[in-house]
Amino acid sequence: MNNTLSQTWRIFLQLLKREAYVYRKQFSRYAINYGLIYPFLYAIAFAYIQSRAYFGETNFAMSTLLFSGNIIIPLMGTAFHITFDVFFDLLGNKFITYQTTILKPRLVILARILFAWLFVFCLMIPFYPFAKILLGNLLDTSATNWFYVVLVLWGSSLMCISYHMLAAVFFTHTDDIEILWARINLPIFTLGGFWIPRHIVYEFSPLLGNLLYINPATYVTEGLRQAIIGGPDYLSIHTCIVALFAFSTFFTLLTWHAFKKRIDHI
Amino acid sequence: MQHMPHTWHDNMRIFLVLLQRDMKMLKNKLRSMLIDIFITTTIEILTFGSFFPLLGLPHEKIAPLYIGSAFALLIFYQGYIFSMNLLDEIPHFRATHMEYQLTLPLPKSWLFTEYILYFIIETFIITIPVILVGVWFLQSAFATMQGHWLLFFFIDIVVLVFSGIFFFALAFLFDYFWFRDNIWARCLSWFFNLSAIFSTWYAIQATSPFFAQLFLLNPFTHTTEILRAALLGQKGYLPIGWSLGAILLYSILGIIVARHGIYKQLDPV
Repeated sequence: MNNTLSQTWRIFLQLLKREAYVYRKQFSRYAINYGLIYPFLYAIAFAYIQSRAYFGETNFAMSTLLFSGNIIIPLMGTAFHITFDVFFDLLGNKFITYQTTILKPRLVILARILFAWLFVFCLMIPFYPFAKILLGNLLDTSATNWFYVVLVLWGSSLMCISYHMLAAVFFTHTDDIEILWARINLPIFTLGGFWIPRHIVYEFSPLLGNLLYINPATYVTEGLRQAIIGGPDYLSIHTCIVALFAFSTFFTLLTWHAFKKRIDHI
Repeated sequence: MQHMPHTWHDNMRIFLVLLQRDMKMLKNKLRSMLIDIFITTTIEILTFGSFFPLLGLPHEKIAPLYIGSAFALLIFYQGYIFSMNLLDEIPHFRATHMEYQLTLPLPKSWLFTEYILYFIIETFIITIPVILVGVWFLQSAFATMQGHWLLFFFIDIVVLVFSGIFFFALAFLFDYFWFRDNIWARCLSWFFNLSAIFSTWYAIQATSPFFAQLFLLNPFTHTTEILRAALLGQKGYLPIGWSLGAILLYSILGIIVARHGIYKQLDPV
């Protein structure tokens, strides 16, 4: 019994090592694209130009509010790219089916999710510090709790990875990628706080504002706004972290189910 | 057997058959595309018409923001999809539909013009509802509209021609894997974010003259500003003549780049 467990654990670690080996060479590309380019462009476009053009030159609160939620796009983009390697693998070589012959399919999926989680989390950490260096006072961090920022990013990375892993296993055609972004991801991140926080949506329509509780992106942006700006307008860190992990668990369970249906493993 | 040169008439006949075939394909996917557009439009109207004003966005800025962030950006996003689809069609590793079409007795310039024409038609059909519905729902924001719909439609076509050429050239210019991995982050996001899509050019100038001058080099600044000027009136936007000149210049540049890319990808000998 112990032998089997230790063997399973060894194979699981080998899979993680294999993932690290595969993505090692791509890390610098991901880091440049998502860790540097996105915060640089969003800092200029949204915090420096857009907020000042719309809300006045000295409205630092607004530039911080707008910029705080912008991370949702690079976060979802990175998660999409790394998890959709599984999607293309399932369409083509089906290497993952070989992995399921040496380890339980659920653990194979779990290894992929765990590695991708760590990978995306590392890529997203420099987003706000880098933007702070660029923006200076325009990004008001006087009330920022950096530990909470990292904590929310940690939970957000897991949620985005498990969500996109579900999509990667669930969808079966390349045309579905367009559907995923146009019909699902666009509403998720636009209504989920890319620009607009939840309390503004609630002010417009309490029904829509309450509906946003079932949008996982809401907890990413609300958690980050709470950690960066703070105050009673945003959901509490505790709520966001619990919700992010609950969504992650839910998406992982669905992924297991969809993976079972997809490859019909025993 | 002596090779018979193809006449303009022969070329046109094949061109029209190809276009007809594409239109049939469009008919099949139109419903799905309109659903996508319906979702996008609803969200954009809510965001720019209702949520942003609650944040304190001045009323007069809603219309130019909607034209840039909802309408123009959608055209460019469709261009990106066109580019991605084209990239898969270029016979890099496997036989594709384009490979077959290249064997047809039709000059490449005609074949690729048909691709761009189809993009223009498709994008026009699916983006026009965004502006019509937007203007209707955001009546109060568009109330001071001083442009002309006919001029707007003409300018829209000009912008679509430029977009078709630009995104066509992009697909041929870069290596397959580089395009897949980096085109959005290292190329398009720079074009989109460092332009006048999210704010009008004069608003950018008031905020940062340096960036305003820099953004003038970006063709997407001109395409967005010209759409605003055509629908909302000239006041407050870059002069239509300037933007038209810039778009023409960038279109010619796009054709040169596309020719280079086509040679690189399809004529390796």
